Amino acid sequence: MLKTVFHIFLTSVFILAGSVLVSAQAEDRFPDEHSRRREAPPPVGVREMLEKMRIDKEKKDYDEMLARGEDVIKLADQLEKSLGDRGGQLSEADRAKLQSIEKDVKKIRSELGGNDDADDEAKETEGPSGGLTVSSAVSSLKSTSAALLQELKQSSRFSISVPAIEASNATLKLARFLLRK
Amino acid sequence: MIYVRLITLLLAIAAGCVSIVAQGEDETIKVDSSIVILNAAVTDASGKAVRGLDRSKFTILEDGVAMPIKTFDTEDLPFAAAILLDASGSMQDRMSLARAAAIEFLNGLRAGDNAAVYKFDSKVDVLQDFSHSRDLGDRFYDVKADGMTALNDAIFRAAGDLSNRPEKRRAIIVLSDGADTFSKKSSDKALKAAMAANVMIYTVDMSEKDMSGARVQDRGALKNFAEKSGGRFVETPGGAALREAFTRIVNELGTQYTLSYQPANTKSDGKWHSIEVRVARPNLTIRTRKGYNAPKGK
Repeated sequence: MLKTVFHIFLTSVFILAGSVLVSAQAEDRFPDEHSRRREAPPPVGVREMLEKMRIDKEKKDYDEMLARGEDVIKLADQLEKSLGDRGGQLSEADRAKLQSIEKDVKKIRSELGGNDDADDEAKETEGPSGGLTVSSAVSSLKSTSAALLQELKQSSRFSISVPAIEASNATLKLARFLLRK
Repeated sequence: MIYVRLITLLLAIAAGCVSIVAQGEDETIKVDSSIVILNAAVTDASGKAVRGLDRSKFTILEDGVAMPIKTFDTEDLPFAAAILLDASGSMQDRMSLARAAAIEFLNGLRAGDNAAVYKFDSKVDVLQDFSHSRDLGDRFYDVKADGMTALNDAIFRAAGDLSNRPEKRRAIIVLSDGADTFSKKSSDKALKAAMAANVMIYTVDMSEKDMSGARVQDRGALKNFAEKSGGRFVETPGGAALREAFTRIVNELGTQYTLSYQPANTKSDGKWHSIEVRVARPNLTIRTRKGYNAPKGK
């Protein structure tokens, strides 16, 4: 009896091992075909369409970046006028404009591939420079915004400008300095 | 049957002999080796050209040793480019696409830039000599695809013509669907001529996208020219993507950096000297030629 059970068990183990082996071989038989199917590029028409979509998106992003640069200049100009009218004091509306400038410039800088580095952060806590007044900071903000837009216009959607990143960093520092006042 | 095989064998041997004799001709492009000029394209992670970097950010290494930078020029320098149009038989269905791409490139030239247009099949012809004109003559539109592919000869010829140009920035743009099948010059000789003339080679693969062994080899040849010379290999699915690729190339040529240095070793020993340019800003890629051969003294 025990011998029969042992035989049945042994046969089952052999059958199981055999089926596992066959299954593994079946999966391995056409590995190239499977990977070829996975790696096969999409048809030319599809790739062409995807490429057109990518180009259109790039053009749109570039135009939006330029529009943001124009907005920053307008806001800086309005700030300067408002400051002149209010005798050097920033109003709540001015602060809202500074926040918009900060948001726009951060977006521009991020699209240019720039970011705050450790040095910038350290300097930021001290302010752009000692002895800077609100009116001189606004005036500097206007000129760095103009420099930023000029650099953006000189670049194309195929290039990024290091001076544009630097101008956006300078504009951000001034905006943050003014927001702390 | 035996006769056919014998004739084929004899023809193959004869063709081999012609090729060896032709490659043995020691036509070299003479260049001034007292100063090494490098054109460097700097791109960010998304492949966009990075402009406005200053001189202090660059380091040049020759054979691993840092060299002082003698001159540094940014994007304002004009460039000279040679467009090489493959007019071999296999390009028959893609000639209009290639023409459109070449026109796109010419339209992107700035006021001071110059370009010439060549066609190559079994031989190399100038369709339009170097000029800043954006208009192409009838010869350009009359080109018919026929014959073999003398790619190496075309690169060698264009490199020679570019070496006589006053512009420091020089490029060859190859529109082709495959590797050489007919040249007298070897690919090594063509590449050396381009590097001696400080020419970056941009290769645009115009082939159908089948991945047969022969096609992979052809692409490899085009890639090799681009990589060794500091240019770029462009693979396009055609149409809009091809025009985009050409606009990108013309933009990149206009935003390169041109650096020069004086080599420490001025021996005329014909030896290879490797060059590496580094830029002190994270996440940027810099492409330039991989080195140069010192001239050989007589």
